[in-house]
Amino acid sequence: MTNPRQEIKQLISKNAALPDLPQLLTELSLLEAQTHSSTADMARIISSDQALAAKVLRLVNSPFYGFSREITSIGNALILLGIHVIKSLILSSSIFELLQKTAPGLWRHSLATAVTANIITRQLQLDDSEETTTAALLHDIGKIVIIVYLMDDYENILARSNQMDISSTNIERSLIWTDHAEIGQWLTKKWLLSEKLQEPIACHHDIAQSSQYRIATAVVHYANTLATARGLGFNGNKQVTAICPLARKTLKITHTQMANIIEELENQLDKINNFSLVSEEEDVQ
Amino acid sequence: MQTIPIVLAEPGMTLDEDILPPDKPNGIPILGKGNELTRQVIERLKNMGIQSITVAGHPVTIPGEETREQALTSIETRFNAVKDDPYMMDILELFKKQINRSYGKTS
Repeated sequence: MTNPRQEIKQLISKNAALPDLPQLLTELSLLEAQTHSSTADMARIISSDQALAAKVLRLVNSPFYGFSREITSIGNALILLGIHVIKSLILSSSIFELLQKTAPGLWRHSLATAVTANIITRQLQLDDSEETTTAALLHDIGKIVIIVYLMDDYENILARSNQMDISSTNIERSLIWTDHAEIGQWLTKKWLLSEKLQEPIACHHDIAQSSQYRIATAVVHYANTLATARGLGFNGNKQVTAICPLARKTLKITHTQMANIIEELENQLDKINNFSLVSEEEDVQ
Repeated sequence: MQTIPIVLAEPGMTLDEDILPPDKPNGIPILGKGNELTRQVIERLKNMGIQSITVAGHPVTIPGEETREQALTSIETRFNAVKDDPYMMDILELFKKQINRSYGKTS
Protein backbone atom coordinates (compact mmCIF):
# COMPACT_ATOMS: atom_id res chain seq x y z
CA MET A 1 0.00 0.00 0.00
CA THR A 2 1.38 3.37 -0.91
CA ASN A 3 1.86 5.92 1.77
CA PRO A 4 0.41 9.19 0.45
CA ARG A 5 2.38 11.23 2.95
CA GLN A 6 5.69 9.79 1.76
CA GLU A 7 4.62 10.10 -1.83
CA ILE A 8 3.86 13.82 -1.52
CA LYS A 9 7.09 14.39 0.38
CA GLN A 10 9.03 12.71 -2.42
CA LEU A 11 7.29 14.72 -5.10
CA ILE A 12 8.28 17.88 -3.30
CA SER A 13 11.90 16.79 -2.91
CA LYS A 14 12.02 16.18 -6.67
CA ASN A 15 10.38 19.55 -7.34
CA ALA A 16 7.56 17.66 -9.02
CA ALA A 17 4.68 18.50 -6.72
CA LEU A 18 3.77 21.71 -8.49
CA PRO A 19 3.85 22.81 -12.11
CA ASP A 20 6.97 24.33 -13.63
CA LEU A 21 8.81 26.70 -11.35
CA PRO A 22 10.66 29.56 -12.95
CA GLN A 23 14.15 28.50 -13.94
CA LEU A 24 15.74 31.77 -13.05
CA LEU A 25 15.15 30.91 -9.43
CA THR A 26 18.24 28.70 -9.50
CA GLU A 27 20.18 31.57 -10.97
CA LEU A 28 18.88 33.90 -8.31
CA SER A 29 19.73 31.50 -5.48
CA LEU A 30 23.27 31.20 -6.79
CA LEU A 31 23.56 34.94 -6.93
CA GLU A 32 22.14 35.28 -3.44
CA ALA A 33 24.82 32.91 -2.18
CA GLN A 34 27.53 35.25 -3.42
CA THR A 35 28.06 37.85 -0.76
CA HIS A 36 29.08 40.60 -3.15
CA SER A 37 26.09 40.35 -5.48
CA SER A 38 24.11 43.56 -5.70
CA THR A 39 20.43 44.40 -5.89
CA ALA A 40 21.09 45.68 -9.41
CA ASP A 41 22.38 42.22 -10.48
CA MET A 42 19.27 40.58 -9.11
CA ALA A 43 16.99 43.15 -10.71
CA ARG A 44 18.70 42.52 -14.06
CA ILE A 45 18.15 38.77 -13.83
CA ILE A 46 14.50 39.08 -12.87
CA SER A 47 13.82 41.75 -15.49
CA SER A 48 15.27 39.50 -18.20
CA ASP A 49 12.04 37.51 -18.04
CA GLN A 50 9.56 40.23 -18.91
CA ALA A 51 6.37 38.27 -18.38
CA LEU A 52 7.57 37.20 -14.96
CA ALA A 53 8.75 40.68 -14.01
CA ALA A 54 5.31 42.02 -14.93
CA LYS A 55 3.62 39.41 -12.76
CA VAL A 56 5.90 40.17 -9.82
CA LEU A 57 5.18 43.89 -10.13
CA ARG A 58 1.47 43.16 -10.27
CA LEU A 59 1.75 41.28 -6.96
CA VAL A 60 3.92 44.00 -5.44
CA ASN A 61 1.30 46.60 -6.37
CA SER A 62 -1.62 44.46 -5.24
CA PRO A 63 -3.79 45.58 -2.33
CA PHE A 64 -1.98 43.37 0.20
CA TYR A 65 1.21 45.38 0.57
CA GLY A 66 -0.74 48.61 0.59
CA PHE A 67 1.95 50.89 -0.85
CA SER A 68 0.48 54.30 -1.51
CA ARG A 69 2.50 54.73 -4.71
CA GLU A 70 2.88 52.40 -7.64
CA ILE A 71 6.18 50.55 -7.79
CA THR A 72 7.22 50.43 -11.40
CA SER A 73 10.61 48.73 -11.41
CA ILE A 74 11.95 45.45 -10.11
CA GLY A 75 14.90 47.37 -8.67
CA ASN A 76 12.62 49.46 -6.46
CA ALA A 77 10.58 46.40 -5.56
CA LEU A 78 13.75 44.65 -4.38
CA ILE A 79 14.75 47.62 -2.24
CA LEU A 80 11.29 48.00 -0.69
CA LEU A 81 10.38 44.36 -0.18
CA GLY A 82 13.73 42.61 0.01
CA ILE A 83 15.03 39.58 -1.82
CA HIS A 84 13.19 37.03 0.38
CA VAL A 85 9.81 38.45 -0.46
CA ILE A 86 10.56 38.94 -4.16
CA LYS A 87 11.91 35.39 -4.38
CA SER A 88 8.75 33.96 -2.89
CA LEU A 89 6.66 36.10 -5.23
CA ILE A 90 8.58 34.74 -8.21
CA LEU A 91 7.90 31.22 -6.99
CA SER A 92 4.29 31.83 -6.28
CA SER A 93 3.34 33.93 -9.29
CA SER A 94 2.96 30.97 -11.63
CA ILE A 95 1.26 28.90 -8.96
CA PHE A 96 -1.19 31.66 -8.13
CA GLU A 97 -2.04 32.11 -11.77
CA LEU A 98 -2.98 28.44 -11.86
CA LEU A 99 -4.84 28.83 -8.59
CA GLN A 100 -6.86 31.79 -9.81
CA LYS A 101 -8.09 29.67 -12.68
CA THR A 102 -8.59 26.30 -10.96
CA ALA A 103 -9.51 27.17 -7.37
CA PRO A 104 -10.66 30.79 -7.36
CA GLY A 105 -12.12 30.44 -3.87
CA LEU A 106 -8.79 29.44 -2.37
CA TRP A 107 -7.01 32.18 -4.32
CA ARG A 108 -9.44 34.77 -2.99
CA HIS A 109 -8.95 33.43 0.54
CA SER A 110 -5.14 33.68 0.22
CA LEU A 111 -5.41 37.21 -1.09
CA ALA A 112 -7.81 38.25 1.69
CA THR A 113 -5.57 36.70 4.35
CA ALA A 114 -2.58 38.62 3.00
CA VAL A 115 -4.50 41.92 2.99
CA THR A 116 -5.69 41.25 6.54
CA ALA A 117 -2.18 40.36 7.75
CA ASN A 118 -0.90 43.61 6.29
CA ILE A 119 -3.63 45.58 8.04
CA ILE A 120 -2.79 43.86 11.36
CA THR A 121 0.97 44.46 11.11
CA ARG A 122 0.39 48.13 10.31
CA GLN A 123 -2.20 48.61 13.04
CA LEU A 124 0.10 47.00 15.63
CA GLN A 125 3.18 48.67 14.10
CA LEU A 126 5.01 45.36 13.85
CA ASP A 127 8.34 44.86 12.10
CA ASP A 128 8.71 42.74 8.99
CA SER A 129 5.29 43.68 7.66
CA GLU A 130 6.15 42.58 4.11
CA GLU A 131 7.47 39.16 5.15
CA THR A 132 4.43 38.50 7.34
CA THR A 133 2.09 39.60 4.55
CA THR A 134 3.86 37.27 2.13
CA ALA A 135 3.68 34.39 4.59
CA ALA A 136 -0.07 35.04 4.85
CA LEU A 137 -0.37 34.99 1.06
CA LEU A 138 1.36 31.61 1.01
CA HIS A 139 -0.12 30.12 4.21
CA ASP A 140 -2.32 27.62 2.36
CA ILE A 141 0.21 26.73 -0.33
CA GLY A 142 0.10 23.14 0.95
CA LYS A 143 -3.52 22.98 -0.15
CA ILE A 144 -2.45 23.69 -3.71
CA VAL A 145 -0.14 20.68 -3.57
CA ILE A 146 -3.06 18.60 -2.31
CA ILE A 147 -5.29 19.88 -5.11
CA VAL A 148 -2.66 18.95 -7.70
CA TYR A 149 -1.93 15.58 -6.05
CA LEU A 150 -5.54 14.49 -5.60
CA MET A 151 -6.82 16.24 -8.70
CA ASP A 152 -10.54 16.79 -8.42
CA ASP A 153 -10.83 14.71 -5.26
CA TYR A 154 -10.15 17.85 -3.30
CA GLU A 155 -13.63 19.08 -4.04
CA ASN A 156 -14.88 15.97 -2.24
CA ILE A 157 -12.68 16.69 0.74
CA LEU A 158 -14.16 20.13 1.06
CA ALA A 159 -17.71 18.90 0.56
CA ARG A 160 -17.21 16.22 3.20
CA SER A 161 -15.66 18.55 5.70
CA ASN A 162 -18.62 20.87 5.31
CA GLN A 163 -21.20 18.13 5.71
CA MET A 164 -19.60 16.66 8.78
CA ASP A 165 -18.50 19.92 10.37
CA ILE A 166 -14.96 18.62 10.54
CA SER A 167 -12.08 20.96 9.81
CA SER A 168 -10.47 20.47 6.43
CA THR A 169 -7.20 19.75 8.26
CA ASN A 170 -8.62 16.65 9.94
CA ILE A 171 -10.07 15.41 6.67
CA GLU A 172 -6.69 15.91 5.01
CA ARG A 173 -4.99 13.87 7.71
CA SER A 174 -7.42 10.99 7.32
CA LEU A 175 -7.00 10.94 3.54
CA ILE A 176 -3.36 11.70 2.85
CA TRP A 177 -1.85 11.14 6.32
CA THR A 178 -0.56 14.69 6.46
CA ASP A 179 -2.04 18.18 6.23
CA HIS A 180 -1.55 21.38 4.27
CA ALA A 181 0.54 23.03 6.99
CA GLU A 182 3.10 20.21 7.01
CA ILE A 183 3.18 20.14 3.21
CA GLY A 184 3.67 23.91 3.23
CA GLN A 185 6.64 23.41 5.52
CA TRP A 186 8.26 20.83 3.20
CA LEU A 187 7.69 23.08 0.23
CA THR A 188 9.06 26.29 1.72
CA LYS A 189 12.10 24.38 3.01
CA LYS A 190 12.72 22.88 -0.40
CA TRP A 191 12.45 26.34 -1.93
CA LEU A 192 14.87 27.70 0.68
CA LEU A 193 12.48 30.48 1.64
CA SER A 194 13.56 32.39 4.73
CA GLU A 195 12.58 31.11 8.19
CA LYS A 196 10.45 34.22 8.58
CA LEU A 197 8.21 32.82 5.86
CA GLN A 198 8.57 29.12 6.71
CA GLU A 199 7.46 29.25 10.31
CA PRO A 200 4.15 31.11 9.93
CA ILE A 201 3.21 28.84 7.01
CA ALA A 202 4.05 25.67 8.94
CA CYS A 203 2.48 26.74 12.25
CA HIS A 204 -0.53 28.90 11.35
CA HIS A 205 -2.92 26.36 12.89
CA ASP A 206 -0.70 25.49 15.85
CA ILE A 207 1.26 28.52 16.85
CA ALA A 208 2.71 26.78 19.91
CA GLN A 209 4.98 25.00 17.42
CA SER A 210 6.52 28.29 16.34
CA SER A 211 9.69 29.37 18.07
CA GLN A 212 11.55 32.25 16.46
CA TYR A 213 8.72 33.95 14.61
CA ARG A 214 5.77 33.56 16.91
CA ILE A 215 4.48 37.10 16.33
CA ALA A 216 4.34 36.65 12.54
CA THR A 217 2.75 33.23 13.05
CA ALA A 218 0.10 34.71 15.34
CA VAL A 219 -0.63 37.45 12.78
CA VAL A 220 -1.19 34.84 10.04
CA HIS A 221 -3.40 32.85 12.44
CA TYR A 222 -5.52 35.96 13.13
CA ALA A 223 -5.61 37.00 9.47
CA ASN A 224 -6.73 33.52 8.38
CA THR A 225 -9.51 33.57 10.97
CA LEU A 226 -10.72 37.08 10.12
CA ALA A 227 -10.71 36.41 6.35
CA THR A 228 -12.72 33.23 6.93
CA ALA A 229 -15.03 35.13 9.29
CA ARG A 230 -15.86 37.73 6.65
CA GLY A 231 -16.45 34.94 4.10
CA LEU A 232 -13.69 36.14 1.79
CA GLY A 233 -12.95 33.37 -0.65
CA PHE A 234 -13.18 29.77 0.44
CA ASN A 235 -10.56 27.65 2.19
CA GLY A 236 -12.71 24.61 2.88
CA ASN A 237 -13.99 25.83 6.21
CA LYS A 238 -17.44 27.35 6.36
CA GLN A 239 -17.26 27.75 10.10
CA VAL A 240 -14.98 30.12 11.92
CA THR A 241 -12.72 28.48 14.48
CA ALA A 242 -11.80 30.35 17.64
CA ILE A 243 -8.60 32.34 17.75
CA CYS A 244 -6.28 30.38 19.99
CA PRO A 245 -5.41 31.81 23.43
CA LEU A 246 -1.68 31.77 22.69
CA ALA A 247 -2.21 34.00 19.63
CA ARG A 248 -4.21 36.41 21.75
CA LYS A 249 -1.52 36.44 24.40
CA THR A 250 1.19 36.95 21.78
CA LEU A 251 -0.36 39.96 20.01
CA LYS A 252 -2.43 41.50 22.85
CA ILE A 253 -4.71 43.30 20.37
CA THR A 254 -6.90 45.85 22.16
CA HIS A 255 -10.59 46.26 21.42
CA THR A 256 -9.93 49.58 19.68
CA GLN A 257 -7.17 48.07 17.54
CA MET A 258 -9.45 45.19 16.56
CA ALA A 259 -12.20 47.66 15.65
CA ASN A 260 -9.73 49.55 13.44
CA ILE A 261 -8.50 46.33 11.80
CA ILE A 262 -12.02 45.21 10.96
CA GLU A 263 -12.98 48.67 9.68
CA GLU A 264 -9.94 48.77 7.42
CA LEU A 265 -10.64 45.24 6.16
CA GLU A 266 -14.19 46.25 5.25
CA ASN A 267 -12.79 49.28 3.38
CA GLN A 268 -10.49 47.01 1.37
CA LEU A 269 -13.18 44.50 0.36
CA ASP A 270 -13.78 45.91 -3.12
CA LYS A 271 -10.05 45.96 -3.77
CA ILE A 272 -9.76 42.31 -2.72
CA ASN A 273 -12.68 41.35 -4.91
CA ASN A 274 -11.46 43.28 -7.94
CA PHE A 275 -7.79 42.28 -7.88
CA SER A 276 -6.71 39.88 -10.58
CA LEU A 277 -3.28 38.46 -11.34
CA VAL A 278 -4.17 38.16 -14.98
CA SER A 279 -4.54 41.60 -16.54
CA GLU A 280 -7.66 42.40 -18.52
CA GLU A 281 -5.65 42.65 -21.73
CA GLU A 282 -4.29 39.14 -21.19
CA ASP A 283 -7.81 37.92 -20.51
CA VAL A 284 -8.95 39.11 -23.90
CA GLN A 285 -6.19 37.31 -25.75
CA MET B 1 -17.80 52.78 0.54
CA GLN B 2 -18.34 51.04 -2.76
CA THR B 3 -16.23 50.80 -5.88
CA ILE B 4 -18.43 51.05 -8.97
CA PRO B 5 -17.79 51.14 -12.71
CA ILE B 6 -17.97 54.72 -14.00
CA VAL B 7 -21.02 53.88 -16.14
CA LEU B 8 -23.03 53.44 -12.94
CA ALA B 9 -21.99 56.82 -11.48
CA GLU B 10 -24.86 59.21 -10.78
CA PRO B 11 -24.98 62.89 -9.87
CA GLY B 12 -25.18 63.33 -6.10
CA MET B 13 -22.83 60.47 -5.22
CA THR B 14 -19.88 61.45 -2.99
CA LEU B 15 -16.34 60.34 -3.70
CA ASP B 16 -14.88 58.22 -0.90
CA GLU B 17 -11.40 57.96 -2.44
CA ASP B 18 -9.27 60.26 -4.61
CA ILE B 19 -9.47 59.67 -8.35
CA LEU B 20 -5.96 59.32 -9.76
CA PRO B 21 -4.96 59.94 -13.37
CA PRO B 22 -5.23 56.57 -15.21
CA ASP B 23 -1.84 56.96 -16.91
CA LYS B 24 -0.08 58.28 -13.79
CA PRO B 25 -1.15 56.34 -10.68
CA ASN B 26 1.35 58.35 -8.65
CA GLY B 27 0.24 61.70 -9.99
CA ILE B 28 -1.85 64.44 -8.45
CA PRO B 29 -5.48 63.33 -7.93
CA ILE B 30 -7.93 64.51 -10.59
CA LEU B 31 -10.67 64.80 -8.01
CA GLY B 32 -10.37 64.38 -4.25
CA LYS B 33 -12.29 62.38 -1.67
CA GLY B 34 -15.40 64.19 -0.40
CA ASN B 35 -16.36 65.80 -3.71
CA GLU B 36 -19.91 65.36 -4.92
CA LEU B 37 -20.38 64.15 -8.47
CA THR B 38 -22.29 66.22 -11.03
CA ARG B 39 -23.36 65.23 -14.53
CA GLN B 40 -20.55 67.34 -16.04
CA VAL B 41 -17.91 65.84 -13.76
CA ILE B 42 -19.02 62.29 -14.60
CA GLU B 43 -18.81 63.06 -18.34
CA ARG B 44 -15.36 64.50 -17.93
CA LEU B 45 -14.16 61.48 -15.96
CA LYS B 46 -15.49 59.16 -18.67
CA ASN B 47 -13.66 61.17 -21.32
CA MET B 48 -10.43 60.93 -19.34
CA GLY B 49 -10.66 57.15 -19.44
CA ILE B 50 -11.48 56.59 -15.76
CA GLN B 51 -12.89 53.04 -15.41
CA SER B 52 -14.11 52.91 -11.83
CA ILE B 53 -14.58 55.14 -8.81
CA THR B 54 -15.09 54.63 -5.08
CA VAL B 55 -18.12 56.37 -3.61
CA ALA B 56 -19.55 56.73 -0.11
CA GLY B 57 -22.21 54.36 1.18
CA HIS B 58 -23.51 51.56 -0.97
CA PRO B 59 -25.62 53.31 -3.61
CA VAL B 60 -25.60 50.62 -6.30
CA THR B 61 -26.98 47.11 -6.07
CA ILE B 62 -24.93 44.99 -8.43
CA PRO B 63 -26.70 41.80 -9.60
CA GLY B 64 -25.40 38.76 -7.78
CA GLU B 65 -23.88 40.84 -5.01
CA GLU B 66 -25.07 40.00 -1.54
CA THR B 67 -27.42 42.40 0.20
CA ARG B 68 -26.80 43.79 3.68
CA GLU B 69 -29.26 41.29 5.16
CA GLN B 70 -27.56 38.38 3.38
CA ALA B 71 -24.14 39.57 4.51
CA LEU B 72 -25.33 39.77 8.12
CA THR B 73 -27.06 36.38 8.05
CA SER B 74 -24.11 34.60 6.48
CA ILE B 75 -21.58 36.04 8.91
CA GLU B 76 -23.74 35.01 11.87
CA THR B 77 -23.95 31.49 10.47
CA ARG B 78 -20.18 31.30 10.12
CA PHE B 79 -19.82 32.14 13.82
CA ASN B 80 -22.23 29.37 14.92
CA ALA B 81 -19.46 27.12 16.22
CA VAL B 82 -17.90 29.80 18.44
CA LYS B 83 -21.07 31.14 20.09
CA ASP B 84 -19.74 30.34 23.55
CA ASP B 85 -16.53 32.29 23.04
CA PRO B 86 -17.02 35.93 24.18
CA TYR B 87 -13.86 37.07 22.37
CA MET B 88 -15.13 35.72 19.05
CA MET B 89 -18.60 37.18 19.67
CA ASP B 90 -16.94 40.55 20.21
CA ILE B 91 -15.27 40.17 16.80
CA LEU B 92 -18.63 39.23 15.24
CA GLU B 93 -20.20 42.42 16.62
CA LEU B 94 -17.38 44.52 15.16
CA PHE B 95 -17.89 42.90 11.76
CA LYS B 96 -21.65 43.47 11.88
CA LYS B 97 -21.11 47.13 12.74
CA GLN B 98 -18.80 47.52 9.74
CA ILE B 99 -21.17 45.68 7.39
CA ASN B 100 -23.94 48.07 8.43
CA ARG B 101 -21.62 51.03 7.91
CA SER B 102 -20.44 49.95 4.47
CA TYR B 103 -24.03 49.45 3.35
CA GLY B 104 -24.78 52.99 4.47
CA LYS B 105 -26.49 52.27 7.80
CA THR B 106 -25.02 53.96 10.80
CA SER B 107 -26.72 51.84 13.45
